[in-house]
Amino acid sequence: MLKRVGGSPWLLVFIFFAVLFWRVASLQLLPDPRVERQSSRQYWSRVPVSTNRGFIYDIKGNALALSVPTSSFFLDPAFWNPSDASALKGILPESIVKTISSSLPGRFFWLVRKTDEVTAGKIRGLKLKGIYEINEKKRLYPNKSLLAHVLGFCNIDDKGLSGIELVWDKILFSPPGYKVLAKESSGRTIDISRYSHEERTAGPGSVTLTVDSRIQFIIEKRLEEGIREHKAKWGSIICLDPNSGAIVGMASWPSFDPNVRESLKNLKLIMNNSIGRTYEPGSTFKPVIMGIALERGAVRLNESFKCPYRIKVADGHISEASNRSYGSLSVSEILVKSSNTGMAQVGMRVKPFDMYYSVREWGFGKNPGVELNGVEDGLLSTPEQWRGVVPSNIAIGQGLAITPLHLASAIAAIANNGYLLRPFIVSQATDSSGQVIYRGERQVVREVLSPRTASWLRKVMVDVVKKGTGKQADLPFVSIAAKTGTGQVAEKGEYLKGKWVSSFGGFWPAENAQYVMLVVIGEPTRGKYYGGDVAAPVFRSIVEDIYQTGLLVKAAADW
Amino acid sequence: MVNEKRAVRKSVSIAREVSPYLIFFALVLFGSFMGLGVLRLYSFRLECKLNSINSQIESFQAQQVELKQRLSSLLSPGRIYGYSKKDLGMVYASNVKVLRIDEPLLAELPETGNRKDMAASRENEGWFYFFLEKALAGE
Repeated sequence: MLKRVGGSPWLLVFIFFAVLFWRVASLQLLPDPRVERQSSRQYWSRVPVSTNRGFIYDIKGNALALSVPTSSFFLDPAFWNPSDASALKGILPESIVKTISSSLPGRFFWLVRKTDEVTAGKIRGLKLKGIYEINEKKRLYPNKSLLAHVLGFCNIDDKGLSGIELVWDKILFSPPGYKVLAKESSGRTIDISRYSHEERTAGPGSVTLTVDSRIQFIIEKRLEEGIREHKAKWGSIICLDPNSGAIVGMASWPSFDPNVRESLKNLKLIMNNSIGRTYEPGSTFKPVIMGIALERGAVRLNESFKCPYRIKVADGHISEASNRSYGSLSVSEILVKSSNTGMAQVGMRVKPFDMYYSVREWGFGKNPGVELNGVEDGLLSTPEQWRGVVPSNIAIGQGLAITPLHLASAIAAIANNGYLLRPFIVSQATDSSGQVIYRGERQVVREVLSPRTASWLRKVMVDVVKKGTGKQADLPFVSIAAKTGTGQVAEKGEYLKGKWVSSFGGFWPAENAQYVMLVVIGEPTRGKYYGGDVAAPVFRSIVEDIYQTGLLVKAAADW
Repeated sequence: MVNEKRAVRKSVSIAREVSPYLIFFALVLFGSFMGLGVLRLYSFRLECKLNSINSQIESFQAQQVELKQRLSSLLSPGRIYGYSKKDLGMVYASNVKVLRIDEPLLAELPETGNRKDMAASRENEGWFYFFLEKALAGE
């Protein structure tokens, strides 16, 4: 019979093996989807992997914010014995221990998240059934409260909530990825690091700031000393490079430690006064008004003004802060002596509409463009509302509200020959591959002063320190140009008695400015309140410190 | 009978002609499956190697984070200031005048190195001149 089928006995054998081989090949190369799913479940295990949040560096490359490994613990109620809760007394808060002392629903309950190693070691050591450990990353600020307002902070899931952490969250945050592990027959996993394509996420980038942490430390320390000495309520210091607009230091008081999460609940602590608090600048605004008046030809350099103790303006009065008449003052003397009546007359020579638009051209009433959140634009009423005594009030720095950053940028324009620059605090941002995706650069907003006017203003501001109201900031080894200011505090449409904002803004060396700095101390309560008495000594001490340590600003050409 | 014998002889001769190809095919198939098995085992070996390299990378990354944290803590201005004041007893050099010589005055001196490096090292040294011992004021 075999001989009859196909004429060969081997044909059947061949057919048998051919079918066998085809079946083996199809099972190997084209498995049934059900078999594939079952084997995946048995053979592969998908576990989440936490990733680092990106670094934030200062201009010298020191890490100001980084993520460090930490442990979190959870319990599975299905395997948890509530009677074991007593072992955790003293390790975990009472409320947690009480909760886990009774049976819990579901399959997951957080015991503690991102705890310190001491607590983690204690929990681990108990070896309680039903408690499992997860490795996570915790955000750490090694310098504690240094630059806290700028750096900001994150929530428990490492999402930025404030400051650089919030604004640059897309660069710094990397969502948790997944690893696929192989399982042995015993159930033990072998990490052969196979990432599935759709689950592979890009790592975090990093952000480098323009801030020098050494200068930052100096200004924070001196600000706190000044605040405590005069028992003030708030304070701010901004230090920037006038030739590029880079912010080399930004301090705000009161401050907080972003590592201490309890302190984050206090809104007064976490508010950045340098960009988020508006105040009436007072006489520190006079150089801006004088610059506008000179540029518009409303005032000539060789003019003089009669400056009595008090002048009547529309329905109000403008009077001298010193309660005395200065007689006849030249234009430069009006600034040196900080005469309110003289300045009011200068300001009123410029039409309200022209003054309004010029003040806005100087950046006031607008977002300055710095890469931070919570930046206030300030308050500048429209010219239709500039009736009566308002134009003269604005000329002496009242009737408008600005932030310290606005004024520091304006002073920088005087220092750098008339260019209003966009202030920036981020030097560069890189993605996970190291590619630079953002670079902070010198950016001219507009030319607000001619070089001649700027040069004249610089000389006058030097005289303010040498002969005028800023004598307490005078130093023998460096020429400082500055202006004092003492603004009133307004509340519900009225100026409060006995409440002032003392400020001192200037730059050094006057002839070739390397730094611009504005010191603002809000509501000193220890008697003195003039800017020259409260803020100027703080300014001087910072200049001394920076000068003695020889800290240099990065050259403008490097930005 | 003769025809049947002829038919059988013919089929045997055909089978003899074809069987080397069958054997060859079977050998090739067998070899392919064996090769596939070897390749899979080799890829598993490579994956294990990759795994150990990945573990090393993770370990080095964790080390790098720890070192950056330690460096940042060591370079913290607050720490340096606190240590200088409390442990070394240093005070502010408020009564010391600093003489700064601008670069153009140094133009005649031979350049011993890169000016940027000199400026950088002066910067780093200057930071520690921030604190001078009280004794210096009296000298």
